[in-house]
Amino acid sequence: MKRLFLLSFFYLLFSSTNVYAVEPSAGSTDLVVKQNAAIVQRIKNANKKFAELLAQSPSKNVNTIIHFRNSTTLNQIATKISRYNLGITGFRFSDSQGGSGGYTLKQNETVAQAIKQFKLDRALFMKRDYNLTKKILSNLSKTRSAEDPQISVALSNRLSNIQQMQVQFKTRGLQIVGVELKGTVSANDQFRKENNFVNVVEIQSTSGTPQPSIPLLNQ
Amino acid sequence: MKKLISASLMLLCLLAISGNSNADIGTRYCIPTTSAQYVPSKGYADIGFDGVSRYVIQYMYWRTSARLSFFKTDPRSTYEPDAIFYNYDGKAYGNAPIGYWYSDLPSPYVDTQFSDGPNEKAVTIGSAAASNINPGRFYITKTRMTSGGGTSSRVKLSSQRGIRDPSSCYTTNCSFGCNQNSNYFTVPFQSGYTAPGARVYWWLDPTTRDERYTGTQ
Repeated sequence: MKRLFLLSFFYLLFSSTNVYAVEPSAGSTDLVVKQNAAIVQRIKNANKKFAELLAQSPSKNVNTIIHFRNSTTLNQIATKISRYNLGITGFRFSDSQGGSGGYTLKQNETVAQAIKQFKLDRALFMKRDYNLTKKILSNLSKTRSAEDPQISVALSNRLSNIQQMQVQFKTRGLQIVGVELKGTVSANDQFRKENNFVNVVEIQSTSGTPQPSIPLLNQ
Repeated sequence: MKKLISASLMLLCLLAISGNSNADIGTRYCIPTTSAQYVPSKGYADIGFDGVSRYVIQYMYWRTSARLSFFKTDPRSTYEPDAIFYNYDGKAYGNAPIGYWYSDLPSPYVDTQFSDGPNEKAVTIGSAAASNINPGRFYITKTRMTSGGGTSSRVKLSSQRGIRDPSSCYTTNCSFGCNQNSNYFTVPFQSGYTAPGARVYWWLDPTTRDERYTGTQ
């Protein structure tokens, strides 16, 4: 008995491995490959989880993020979803400068109110971004550390990017790449099957999940 | 004999609980790093009210590749620039993200407050793919937020590194802080930064010797 315990003790002591070892340092190409692989795996995992839930509990109410293959407009997606027994809890969008974001509906806010405020906010915050960036740039020259060409270039580039985003917003509006919904699993599935712009339906956890948007297929 | 068995059982239980090198199950092992390998060289914050709601805007800038070296070594790396409102007295200026949010950090997300305590309210847009952050560029995070219980409060800004484990998982369950050197307060509560208001900070950035910043207020 003594030998058995001692053997168990030493086995446990020396058999544990660090399963969280960091991968070895990778070059930029390796990083891109790994990140693309991670996105592919994420989509597979999401599809699998959704399929399992559909088979086991189609009537269960869930929160989901629907990621699209191609961008669309707010009004188009709101109109499409209104035909299903699904509630919109948020939107996701992306822009031409590599940024993305969204809008989370407030309690008791209607979709129409959210769409209106979302568009206003996009314009408001781009303007604020422009003014703040300009302020930082002009502020630089007033300080003792004065000339910081690296920062000046970075800030000037930012101003230029904001202006491009403002032009894009004016001509194309908000480009919606996803929508956050609440409803039954089966209702989500119906929406997915009947709209081929849907790339993947991802279940959100009840605790609120920080999930970035999945890139569009043409990016 | 009985004492030996009891001692062995206790030791086995302790081993089972402590597992491998991760004593805290909410963290994961990350390669040791210094703050200069992931904390931004400079940052700006602008927190206020714009007639619609309170909001937080943050800018961050990494001057060189070396300042991003932790993120570049691990494709699972995440980054969270937190704006944390002092709520020990129930009078935080900010409460939680709501409405509009945006960032040009790679793969941005709105961080959850699910596991946070009530005394410090963190309003954060994080990056799930920090390895794609590049030097020499100003990044932004911006979000509206619900109001806290006060009209003004102290704020602290922090830079937190983490990893996704496994790398394909983007849920809360798979996002972990690093088990060491994971969090630096670029602007601690003691600095006197209060919201509403603006703030600049620089971290181990010898090019910046001084700078004042008042935002647009």
